[in-house]
Amino acid sequence: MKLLRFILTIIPFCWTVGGIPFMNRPIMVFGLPLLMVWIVAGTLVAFCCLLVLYKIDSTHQKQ
Amino acid sequence: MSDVTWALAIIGIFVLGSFATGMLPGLRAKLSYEQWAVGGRNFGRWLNWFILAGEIYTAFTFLGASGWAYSKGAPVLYIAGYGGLAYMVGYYILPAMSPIGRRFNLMTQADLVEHIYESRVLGIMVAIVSVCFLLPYMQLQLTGLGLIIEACSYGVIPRIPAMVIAFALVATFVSVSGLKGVAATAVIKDSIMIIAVVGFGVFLPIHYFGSFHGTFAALEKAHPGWMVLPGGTKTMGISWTMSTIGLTSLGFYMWPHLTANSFSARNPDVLRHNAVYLPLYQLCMIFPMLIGLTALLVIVPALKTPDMAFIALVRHTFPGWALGLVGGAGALACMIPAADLLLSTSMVFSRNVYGRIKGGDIPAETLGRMAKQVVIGLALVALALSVFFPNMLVNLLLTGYAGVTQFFPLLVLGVFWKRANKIAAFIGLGVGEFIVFYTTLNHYDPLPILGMDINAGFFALCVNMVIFVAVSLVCVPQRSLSPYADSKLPEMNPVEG
Repeated sequence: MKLLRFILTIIPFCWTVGGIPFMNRPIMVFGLPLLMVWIVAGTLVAFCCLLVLYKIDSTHQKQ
Repeated sequence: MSDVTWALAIIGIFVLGSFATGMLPGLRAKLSYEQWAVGGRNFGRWLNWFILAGEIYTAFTFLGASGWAYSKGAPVLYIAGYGGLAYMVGYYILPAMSPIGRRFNLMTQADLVEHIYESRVLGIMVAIVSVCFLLPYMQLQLTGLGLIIEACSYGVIPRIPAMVIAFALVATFVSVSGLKGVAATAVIKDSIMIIAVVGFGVFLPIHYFGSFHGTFAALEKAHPGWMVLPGGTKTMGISWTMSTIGLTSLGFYMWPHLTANSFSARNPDVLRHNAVYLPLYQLCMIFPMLIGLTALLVIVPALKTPDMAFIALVRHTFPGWALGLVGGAGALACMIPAADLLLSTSMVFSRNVYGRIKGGDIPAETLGRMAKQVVIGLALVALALSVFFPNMLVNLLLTGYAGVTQFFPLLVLGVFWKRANKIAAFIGLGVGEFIVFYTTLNHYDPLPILGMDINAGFFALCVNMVIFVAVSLVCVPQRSLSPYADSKLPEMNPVEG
């Protein structure tokens, strides 16, 4: 469980910060610049990871 | 009615309406010191949400995000990138700080530092550094407000009277209602902010180019590579953006007023829950950028002040009522964060600088009365600085974010790591701040290292962190238990918010 929490914490950082060198290309996705789509997606990834962490922590607290 | 009358009427309604809302909590009931400063530590999810979220859209994000998109291009994306990561940091640290504050009756960040390290001198040092960075940040909000009101009233209300009126209102409602007033007004501010930013952000690109797709196609034709790093700049490339996101995501909750806001939560679950949903709010940050890009394509000739891109485009496109809406939203985006800053700075100054240098036990009532007077005093100082010496604090402002981020090792490791040591905190903070000032004042930011351009504040944070850990490991441990573990004891059964 500790490992899962660690992974969930680290994913958004890897996605947003780690992804920049690979996504900085003059390509359009859905008509939007790739880097912009990637960074906005990174915020959604952070939201999902936080949501799972919160679920884990609330069940943990109830027990 | 003419354009000017419409604009003035709408701005007036928003500003005075918020002022009245801000006065209510203090007029309805006599507030104790704790209620005034940290909302009686009883804010549930909604009020706490608006307090936390209210700090995202400030004058800087409103004008700055569109201005950077207009003048720099792709580097602006860091503003969209750091939010989600900052809340991940907040998810861990805010719920840990809040119970320590409740148990030991702490109200400011410097209180917390003094408590963790059992060091009065370190608390005073952190307090002084905080005030040095908070005051210019407050002045920035004030200057932004002057610009916005002047532009949105078609020049009818000049900069200086606008600043004087707005700050008189802010100082009054903060000294009457404290944090409750800030929270109540933040509800209004955020609602109209979202309407203005999303509304114009969706409408303007589609109005001029048919779709978002069309906007970016036109942008690519006019400015090829604008949305690929380093955009319109020379040094803000991949390494700069990565290190800046690193700095701002770790540093976000190191702003003393944000730490203090965590003490207002009813229980740690409120803070955890809000940290989960705040990233969604952060998504709205993309809209000012779209407006900035549209302004770049539409407005000819180029603007002298890129920060005016948002307002210039709205003025170019719409009649007066729309400018009034932007002006009202913009004015509140300056006033409400300024109110929170004013409250926190006065708390830090009265409790941690004055109170702790004087020493001894000062009754809460005296401190409370003093904090309210300091609110008025600080508002006058910020006003005088903006009017007479608008550039005096510009260096402190440039270093602001990098400067407060240097609290990260001593605050976060102090809470979670029992070996964290006060000697390490002194040395780490000192070295970190020195590097920040040295690099910024000598124009070494971004710092060229190994062929990369690194954000100088991030570099300072890395050095600070290494020193902090190394010195802590060398020193004899100060205590046997981390303060977080200690404070968890009476919090076994948190009430559901």
